[in-house]
Amino acid sequence: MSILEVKDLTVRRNGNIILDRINLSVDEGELLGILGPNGAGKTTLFRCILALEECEGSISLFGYSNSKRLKVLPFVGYLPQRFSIDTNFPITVKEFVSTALTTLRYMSKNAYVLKAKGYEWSIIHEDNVVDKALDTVGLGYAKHRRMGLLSGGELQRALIARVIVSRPLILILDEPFNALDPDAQAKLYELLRMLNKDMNITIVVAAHDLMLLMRLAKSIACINKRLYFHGSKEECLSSDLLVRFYSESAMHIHMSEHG
Amino acid sequence: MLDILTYEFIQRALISGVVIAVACSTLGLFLVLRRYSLFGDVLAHTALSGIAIGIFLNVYPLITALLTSILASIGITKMKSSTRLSGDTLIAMLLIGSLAVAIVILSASNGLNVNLLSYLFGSILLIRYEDMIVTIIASLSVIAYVTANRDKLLYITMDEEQARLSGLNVQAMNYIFMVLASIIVILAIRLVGVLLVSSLIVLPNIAGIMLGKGFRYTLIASPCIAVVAVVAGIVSSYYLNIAASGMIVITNLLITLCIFAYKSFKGESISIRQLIRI
Repeated sequence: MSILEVKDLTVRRNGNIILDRINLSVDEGELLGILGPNGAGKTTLFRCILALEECEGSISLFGYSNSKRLKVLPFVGYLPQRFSIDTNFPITVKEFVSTALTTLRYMSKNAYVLKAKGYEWSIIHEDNVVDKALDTVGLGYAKHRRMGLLSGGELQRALIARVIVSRPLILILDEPFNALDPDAQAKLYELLRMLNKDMNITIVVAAHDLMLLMRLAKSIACINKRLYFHGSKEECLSSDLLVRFYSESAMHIHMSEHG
Repeated sequence: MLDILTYEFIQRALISGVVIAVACSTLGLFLVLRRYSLFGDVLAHTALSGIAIGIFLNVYPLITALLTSILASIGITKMKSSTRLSGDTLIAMLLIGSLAVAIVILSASNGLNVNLLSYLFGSILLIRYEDMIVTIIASLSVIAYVTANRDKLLYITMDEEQARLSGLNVQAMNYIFMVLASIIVILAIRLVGVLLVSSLIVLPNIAGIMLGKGFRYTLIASPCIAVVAVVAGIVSSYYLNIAASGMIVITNLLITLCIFAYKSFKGESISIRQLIRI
């Protein structure tokens, strides 16, 4: 059984079709890369999965479909594309990451709901989960710094630390590589691999960086309002789909930028 | 010097003033951080129309005031999510509207008198024993709720969507929060009057936030600042024979300015522009 399943997902806004009959399924332990140009509907897809937006079709998480999935949503970690915080907001990095402990409490209370469908989630009793998460993302040095003083890359890592504190079973990341310098990108890349491999977290990640996604993901889905491709990355590479998808010139620019 | 503390009315004023100050500033921190700084003002003005209704119907005005401000707070929460009106438009409409309603009702009931003045400018020195008990219970309940739920409230304030995803009942908590905000506004009316209510909610927190520290630190620092201001305000009003409410707010402002000056002197730039916005 798939841990995440999207069937005939259609989203209309003001008469326009944003997403058209998307079908996707993600198995446990998978690392799915979602590729698509700006405005392709990647964010909308994620927000629908998380029940933050309305849509037609059916979505199931951990075997719970549609409105039944609300109670298992806390087991999904979500990293939105944009997050900003006032420079003056009085909160330290450590306090920010600690807010996820609220999620953790909810999850340990509701873990039986997952167990009923055969998914195992157990709380790990550690005193310093927050410190550990900060060390994992390499932000331990800034834990007493105020959030508003972080750089773009540090903010991104603080968000990831907050997500991993609750040890979600699925992690959905919306263009996490944007606004990161190459060094920070490489670190995030390693981190995602580690989370997927060592902690067995299923990951769905949207990105523009083709090469990076190809290296990182096990399978690829290409979306531009509708689903153009969904399969292993080998199949994806062998098809001429990417060229059609991004157009030849775009591919060229892309290669020279990142090649 | 301490002979002032032997007067019972001063004791009552100080005790009530301190608990009100702590309640207002703790809940107020979340209002300020949610960019609802002027929310206290709106609730106070709607409370004024409630006071007018109370005077008109000859019932205890603070009861009707509490009812109208609770209704207003729920109304604002609903309207904010269901209409396209921006926050400041809504606040402007309600501020003016409720003031107008208050004037109409008061003039119809010949209520424009001294009694009204005590609601407009506060009358903490006139607080009775029974009022003090009610004030203490209400304030402590608000403080207890906020302290117990500070992490959840912080989560919602900072990132409402993520808070909802993590299983928090955000809607219910928002409504409870708004009702509590109405309660502290009514309490604050006793202390500084309708016209200065929002100072009690906003000023200590602006000062606290200016200190530039973390959340826990600010959550403790702001009430401390508020308490210093209230005590200094009441004591000085006794010796100088001037209105306590005005002195409380002026002391608060002075503390805020001192912190601002100190921070500027140290070269740490502070942008409060971001904070006082709706």
